[in-house]
Amino acid sequence: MKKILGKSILLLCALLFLLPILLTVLHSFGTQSVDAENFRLTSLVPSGFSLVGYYDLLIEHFYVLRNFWNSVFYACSITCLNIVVSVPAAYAFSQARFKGKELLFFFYIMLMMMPLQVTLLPNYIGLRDMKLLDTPFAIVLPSVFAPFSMFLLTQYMKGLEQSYMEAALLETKSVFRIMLQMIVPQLRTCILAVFVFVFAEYWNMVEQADIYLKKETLKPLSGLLAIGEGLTTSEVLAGSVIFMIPIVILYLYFHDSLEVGLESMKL
Amino acid sequence: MKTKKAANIIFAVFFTVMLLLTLFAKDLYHLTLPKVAVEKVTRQVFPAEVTGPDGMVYETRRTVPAISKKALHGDIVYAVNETEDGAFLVENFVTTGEALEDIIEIKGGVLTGTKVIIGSDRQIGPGQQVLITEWDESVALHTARELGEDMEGYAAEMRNCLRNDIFYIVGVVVASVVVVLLCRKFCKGRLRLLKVPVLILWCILVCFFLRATIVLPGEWIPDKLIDWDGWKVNMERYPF
Repeated sequence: MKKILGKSILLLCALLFLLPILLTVLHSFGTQSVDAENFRLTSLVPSGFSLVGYYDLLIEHFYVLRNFWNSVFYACSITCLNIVVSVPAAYAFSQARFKGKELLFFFYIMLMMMPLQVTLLPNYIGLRDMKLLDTPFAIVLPSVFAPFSMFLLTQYMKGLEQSYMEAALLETKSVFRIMLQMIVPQLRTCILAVFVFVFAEYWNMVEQADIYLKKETLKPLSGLLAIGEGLTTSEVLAGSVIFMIPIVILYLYFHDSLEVGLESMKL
Repeated sequence: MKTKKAANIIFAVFFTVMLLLTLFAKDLYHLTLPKVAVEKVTRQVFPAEVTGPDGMVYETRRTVPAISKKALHGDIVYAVNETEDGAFLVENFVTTGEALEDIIEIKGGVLTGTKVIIGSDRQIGPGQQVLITEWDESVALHTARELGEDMEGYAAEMRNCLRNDIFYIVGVVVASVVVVLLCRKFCKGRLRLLKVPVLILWCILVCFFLRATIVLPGEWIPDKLIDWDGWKVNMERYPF
């Protein structure tokens, strides 16, 4: 009895979490189920089936597609560059010995803990002085050096067997060779997990695009959907469904690595 | 394994659909239309001579419909028929009269107020859909070439275009080789299903690139990307 009750509660919680997504998907295919003025659902289940939202969004509004590809570009480039920067940094923090390492790492963690709004203004000033505002670099550059992935990779690397490193040091003195040929292959699952996290984070970014970019042609889809300017409610719902698909694909690809990676990082 | 396979299929289908929708978008299609500059047929003042009752010849003025000489292609003028679907060209045979500086009198064929093409950025033909723009550099360059005018910097511009064309073609070839090599290297095992969609997407991109930019002359290319009637008409125009 207790088991059934427990499962029922869990099922209810799961449904509650899923409800916004289910409603978004359902109503994106619905007709006149959304009060356009107040952006309120008039019924739980849409009265009819319609693809008007998708048609208007994908055929009539070319800029939505342009913003979608902007999102793809930003998320992919930031994720790849972030990993390229984070792996050597994590290697240095976990394996190298130098003065002030702990202090520097502490500052890194502090930077990670700070909310985005705290760093927005200094970043804005820096980008403005470098004349990078309203360019794709305004989004990509600050995000490439975000410390979150470096922290995860450092934690994982600290758990690697030291005897392997010592054996590798007997073979070669090249730090890059050790990193590329010995460390990176062992980091595969961790890097994939980091890839999913970073991609999801920057796929969903809103504030950065809103602050650093004024040109509509450069904004990502997340920024457009968050404001919803020029779009009807059914178009926003259809856009939200399209916006979810890449993340779902990413999860389907890497869910094994994500679980293993998180486990090995002791998160 | 099943999940990965499903992910591969969703990935290929989703991004193919998004790419196709992007490439065949109406707005993007409009960018590929010939840009034309238009001018209305207006009534202009021409000098005239009349013989008086006393046999003397007097100089006077007459107001007649006239257009820019640039609008004339032999005895043809392309008028613009603006509809809800866009602007289309209509071929009009005109009878011309006296010429004055850069304008010419129209005795018949088009009415006053009709919009006629005075320049385009590529060759145009009757029935073709066009995009009406202001008189800009690209329109001016092509029109000057069509009229055989000597224009300052025209030769240099053409040389630049040729250089750019060669650069783009080499770029496309190199990028294609890189894509094929990357596919061979990475699309193995579980990712082998990705090879075909990636190569198809690449081919679509390259075709679109060639279509949208420089390599083929405008008149060789159908007006619409998916317009079977247009394709048929254009195929009939080809020399073979």
